[in-house]
Amino acid sequence: MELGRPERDAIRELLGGLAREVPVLLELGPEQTPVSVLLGGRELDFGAETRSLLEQVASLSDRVALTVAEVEERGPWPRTTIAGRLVYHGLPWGYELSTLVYAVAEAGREESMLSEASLAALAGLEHDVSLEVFVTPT
Amino acid sequence: MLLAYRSALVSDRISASGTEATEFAVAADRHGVVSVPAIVVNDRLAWVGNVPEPRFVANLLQAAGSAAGSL
Repeated sequence: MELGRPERDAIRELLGGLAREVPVLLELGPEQTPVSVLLGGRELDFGAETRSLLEQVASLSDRVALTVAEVEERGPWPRTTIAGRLVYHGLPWGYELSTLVYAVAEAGREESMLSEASLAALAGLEHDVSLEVFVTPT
Repeated sequence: MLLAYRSALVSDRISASGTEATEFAVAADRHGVVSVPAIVVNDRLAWVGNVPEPRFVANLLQAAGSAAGSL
């Protein structure tokens, strides 16, 4: 999938405000539970498409440091990890690519976009919390 | 999903991941996901649907079993 000029311009602008370098790790390998999706008459290669999209995004900012790792064992690939903390399993297509780009932008920002009330509430967490959000491409 | 990421960026106690439900249908089924976005907290389906930030944080804290405080 090739990003169009409007998308590239929007991403470049969004990532232009990065205050620090943001590492992005893409792990590729044999899928744990392979699924077959046809797009435009051909079978979609989730790993290759994810790599292409992330390489295009990374090319738009010198503060996005993309690393691609090939993994031999089966697993939840492709897996993208932003700033060592924010994980996405799958091909970030459609709206999810926007979400990942925003995540990169926020990981590279000095201040959170959350409200003071939210920050105060989350600061009171007493236990570790695992959040997993299931989405579909839109 | 962005609110989950924002939360993880400000708290070392929070880990956040997004999962494409079509590509990882087995994981989605395991959590009983039938519509999206579906938010799973500590391996249990907590709620479905986009909500405003204050509600997201309150839901998160409630699902995590912490005292939510007032938002």
